[in-house]
Amino acid sequence: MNDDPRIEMLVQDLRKVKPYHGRWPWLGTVLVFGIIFCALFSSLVGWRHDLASALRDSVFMLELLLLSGLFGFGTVLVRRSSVPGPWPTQRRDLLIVTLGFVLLGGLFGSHSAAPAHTPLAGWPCLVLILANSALPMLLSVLMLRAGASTQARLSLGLAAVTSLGLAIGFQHVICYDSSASHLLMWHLAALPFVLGLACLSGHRVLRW
Amino acid sequence: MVGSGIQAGFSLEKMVNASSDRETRWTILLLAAQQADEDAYRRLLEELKTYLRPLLNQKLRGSHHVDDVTQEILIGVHRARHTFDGTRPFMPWFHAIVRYKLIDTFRQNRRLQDHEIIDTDAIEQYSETFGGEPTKEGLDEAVLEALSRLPPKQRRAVELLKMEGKSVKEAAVEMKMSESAVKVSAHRAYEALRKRFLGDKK
Repeated sequence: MNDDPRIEMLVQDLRKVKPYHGRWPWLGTVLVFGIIFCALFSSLVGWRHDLASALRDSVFMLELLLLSGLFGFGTVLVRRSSVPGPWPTQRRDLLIVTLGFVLLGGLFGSHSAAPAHTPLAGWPCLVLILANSALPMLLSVLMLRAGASTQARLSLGLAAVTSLGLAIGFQHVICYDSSASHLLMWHLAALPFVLGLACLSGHRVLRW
Repeated sequence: MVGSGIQAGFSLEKMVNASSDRETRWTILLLAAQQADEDAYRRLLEELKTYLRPLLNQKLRGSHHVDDVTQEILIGVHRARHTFDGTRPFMPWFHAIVRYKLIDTFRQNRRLQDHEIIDTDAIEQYSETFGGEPTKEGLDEAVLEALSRLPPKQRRAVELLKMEGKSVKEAAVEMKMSESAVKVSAHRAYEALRKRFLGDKK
């Protein structure tokens, strides 16, 4: 018997625990539910009318591949950040994600199509991206809260960026405006906003 | 591997006693705790508490927060125990929790100190409102009367935290409530007292 009542209280609260979500079940859950939700949402909004010809464009396909890769890789990193302990490749991993988005910006900037909207009329894309990223984001947060992240801001920031990556990918198959100015302005506009919000609220949302 | 030994049903006591180094012993104990072995868990928490005391004394320079931080860390281990993977080393996992809880406690204390400054203002304003230096008896009487009007939980929280000088954790144990609930009760009580003495002015 122990003489410290607080230790005794923790011992009384002891239950058999299930092993924490592994990397692949985590990735599978977020991938399946995230993609299903985004696909349903996008089909409700309506696919772009020139999707068939866009799919034959190598830059468009490269952008979709890049966004899919960022989503998958980012999801693995979110899971990694939810467990206490060393993360020796953290800097390299975060650099890869950052470079991925820089490359995406470069690809968006390379589009030469004429804008289909006046610059300020593109705001619905921003709203749709935020709405489309909501459920994958919520799913990631719920899974993160089941863990014990010791870097809450980083975890939530990664979850936000990853969910946005997926939503940006789906917005790409909804929105027919392929001009560089529109893509750079309205398809990437949510990134700094959501990242800032995640950094500000990470500690509160993921406190344990 | 340690984890497979536990799963294969080796005697826990034998494995713990055979392990020469602390890290292996703690790994065995935590893996057993994950399977709800109370004795192993009790022993682990005791050993962690003993290990933490000099470490925190050094980091916090003997501050009176050592006890609170130790408890926060043990609660942290309790809440994060399912994330421990027996194939990975124990110490980096544990030290990540220690660092996280230390930073969290510093942050909370800073916030608490900010609130306490407001309380000092309230006492000063109280004396201005009632004219001149209040007698200690007069202040006590007014405060005690205001306390008696609080709901029982709020009153008890203030008594334990402010009059008996107990930590939030100790108050939580005594009141059989969670720490957050104690903090919320105390906060509501402070707000009620502030309103009573100062009206709605902040």
